[in-house]
Amino acid sequence: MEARNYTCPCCGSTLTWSGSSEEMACSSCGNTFPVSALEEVTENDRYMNQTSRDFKWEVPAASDAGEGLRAFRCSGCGGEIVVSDTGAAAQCPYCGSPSVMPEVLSGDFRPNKIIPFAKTEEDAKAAYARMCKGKRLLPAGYGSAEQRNKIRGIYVPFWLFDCVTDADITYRATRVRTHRHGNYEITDTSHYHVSRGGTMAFDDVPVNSSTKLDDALMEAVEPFDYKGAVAFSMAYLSGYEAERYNQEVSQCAPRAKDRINQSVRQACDATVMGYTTYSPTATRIDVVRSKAENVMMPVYLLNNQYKGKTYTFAMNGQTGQIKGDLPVDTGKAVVTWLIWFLIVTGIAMAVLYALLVSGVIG
Amino acid sequence: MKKLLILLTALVLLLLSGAQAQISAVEDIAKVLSSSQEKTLSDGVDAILEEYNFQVMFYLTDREMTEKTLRVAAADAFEAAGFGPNGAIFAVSTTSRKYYYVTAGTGKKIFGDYEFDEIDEQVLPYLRRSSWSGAAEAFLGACREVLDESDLAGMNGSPAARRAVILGKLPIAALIGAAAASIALFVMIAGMKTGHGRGTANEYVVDTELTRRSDVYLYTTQTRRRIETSSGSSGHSGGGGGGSFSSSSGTSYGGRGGSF
Repeated sequence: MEARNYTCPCCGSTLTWSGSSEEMACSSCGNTFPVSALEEVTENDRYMNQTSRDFKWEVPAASDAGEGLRAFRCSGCGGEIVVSDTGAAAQCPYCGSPSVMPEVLSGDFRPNKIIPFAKTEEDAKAAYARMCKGKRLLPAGYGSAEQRNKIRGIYVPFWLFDCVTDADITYRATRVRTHRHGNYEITDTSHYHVSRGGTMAFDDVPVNSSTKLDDALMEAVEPFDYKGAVAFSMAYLSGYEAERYNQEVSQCAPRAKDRINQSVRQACDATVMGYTTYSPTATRIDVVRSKAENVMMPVYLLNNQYKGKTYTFAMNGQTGQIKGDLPVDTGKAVVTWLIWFLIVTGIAMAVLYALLVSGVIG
Repeated sequence: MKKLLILLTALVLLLLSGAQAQISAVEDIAKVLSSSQEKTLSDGVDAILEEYNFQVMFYLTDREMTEKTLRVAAADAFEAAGFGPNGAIFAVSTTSRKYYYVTAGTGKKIFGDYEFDEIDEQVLPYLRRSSWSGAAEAFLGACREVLDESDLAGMNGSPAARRAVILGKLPIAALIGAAAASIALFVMIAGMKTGHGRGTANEYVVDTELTRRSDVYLYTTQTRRRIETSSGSSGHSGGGGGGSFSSSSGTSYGGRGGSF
């Protein structure tokens, strides 16, 4: 397999995507290059390399890399890099060169669009530090600089679902009126059959299409600003990791449908007004038009282990939205509970004493 | 002339202070108590005052009075005697055969319907027999029982009793502390777990046209509930008529009364 990295046309160093300048940047000479220009240069170089030095890009057979893994040779140092069979971009562990594997994202796997990283790795590290700051229950040493350095930017494959739904929901509703008649309290409960229906259109409902990443966490860092989406180019992957989808549209569609159906139910529920109680008795939600497209989204990830459990931090690489789970130190939790208990009990005793002395309670 | 005015003013003040001084904790206007009975009641009142810092007063009159006028007269006498702010007055009109338990300050909180029912049980038999001293002593005894059960007794009692009352509140304070600590911990832990999925796709709605609406009336059901009235809740023939009222000076009092 051929691994591709983008080199600076000026000095030959490896180029990475710069979210701030929205161009490919060279960390050695400081030059930046538009993606379109670089694609043209790189394609030309690639063609030239293939014709003149075809042997150099020989890739070991897949069987050499083991099940679920594949190996490729770094074009920078020649070292063998092993990645998962869905990995489309990685960093060479020997020379640190970022490399992308176009074949992984070719054919049906080629994304329609990509949202490039707008936040830098430093932004992500700072965000993670902020997330850990002030968390009294965090285990000692958790969130250290050493941990933060493990943060990696990864392009996550998503299916974006567009659809129009046609829904009908029926409810059983009541209106309750209470009045007094003599020594009796009369309650009249009027029962109604209520129905609501219509169409709702949804655009770009994202569903994570890689089983290697947690669906809940990927949903937590939503939404992405789709105005920032551009036509897919391999160049954007340089300097980051990337995964191709391993779940088809049909496998991800149920999750999108669940979210869409819930939104439709909420919208219909909101129109049932003027009743004391209501509850749905039947729901029919049809999807009349739908389409899905494969888009890569930028996410910073950090996996940390604590007592055998993995805690993942994620940051939206475009908007900076941060989410994740942090571990709780049981000892600190017990001490914190006791401190709160003693303080509040003390205050409560003082208040009760004051009330006793003043005679408010007796 | 000026000296004469000063003299008259001093005389009036002297008379007024004398009149005030005449009002005692056992105000027997009806003259139905013997001096020894008055002394016994007065000693009992002093004992309660010392033990609980709670002023008990007896107001026995032979004037024709309703419950309302009786309670106001008793409250006015309580204030004129300089008593308060915490206390209970046992007011009786021997001719109208009306009685009223007037409560002041913490007395309003300590004496509720249950306590008045208990007092009625002990006092009314004496009142019906026109045994005024018996009724007064029964009231004094009942007051002591009520005060014994209230925290006021401990708070105004010995240091040990005071400590017992305060420590008695410890379980309540500990319960509040445990609840607050648990809530605080829950909030802290929840703040460390933010990787939750989204249940809806509300951010991605681009058009909503919920135009089909129908509301069809089906039927009406009716339920009836008898409203329980509070009248006669005391369970005694003489009980009734209570709540808050004000003395002539505007001070608020509580209590309950009736006929016998």
